[in-house]
Amino acid sequence: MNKKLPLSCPSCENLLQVKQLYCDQCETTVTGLYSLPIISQLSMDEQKFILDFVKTSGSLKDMAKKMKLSYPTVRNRLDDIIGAIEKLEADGE
Amino acid sequence: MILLEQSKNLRLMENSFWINPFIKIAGFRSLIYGLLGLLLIAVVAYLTGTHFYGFSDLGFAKDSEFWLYALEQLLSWVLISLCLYVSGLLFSNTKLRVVDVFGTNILARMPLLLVPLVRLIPPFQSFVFQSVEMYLLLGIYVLSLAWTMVLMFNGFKISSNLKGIRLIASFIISIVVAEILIRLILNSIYYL
Repeated sequence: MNKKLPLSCPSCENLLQVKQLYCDQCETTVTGLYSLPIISQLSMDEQKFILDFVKTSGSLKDMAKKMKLSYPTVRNRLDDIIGAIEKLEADGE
Repeated sequence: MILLEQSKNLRLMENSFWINPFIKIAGFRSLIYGLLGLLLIAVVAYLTGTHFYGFSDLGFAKDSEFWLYALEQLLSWVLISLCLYVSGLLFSNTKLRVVDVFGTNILARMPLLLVPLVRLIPPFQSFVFQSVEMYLLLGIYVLSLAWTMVLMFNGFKISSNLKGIRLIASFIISIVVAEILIRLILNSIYYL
């Protein structure tokens, strides 16, 4: 079953942070307070888009062909993701 | 739950091929299809004596050579696209491609084919003022114009990635400026 990583608090909707990491090999638990990487804070669709973008070596033309969408549609999605990342970076400062 | 379903249905409608084909087709492909479509509109307009005076005015008179009907279409397309492109350059943060703006805009004009096509039907070839045929033709023209505007708006939205009030304002201003320019140029040609 594919589980979705929760990003915001179900109670107050604030951004969640990582408090505990667990190794299922040696059963070591690491406790601290870590921010989620910016890419993890994006939606699943946005993360998938970024992965596909890297896999096509950054070619929007190839991505448009693969996704069966027009070039400007794919370019707009990239621009929107760039905007989202810049906002997350600004919020994190 | 009902609101979510309604919002999902609205998004599906907005992205339907007949309202926004530019999610799938833009650039060079839409330019080629659009040029063929434009030629078809010019040919049928010539056969039926249907003049497009700019974007918002229509006239019927079998009085001109083919080149004038073609010029009416070409001028309208080029000037509207140019105004939209300039708006996009001024207000959009995205790198605009000329081929996207011109290509989506020309394909958006295809519903305008409806009026000259209907004029091929005998009762609509000549009709009396304020007759049923006239009102039917007017209704078809208004519908085709509305459809064309929606397509042009969506084409510009996709090409420029503009959103909200900037999208709406720049679209309206571009159409108005282009319409004024088209009328000025066509009038100077008609009265040569």
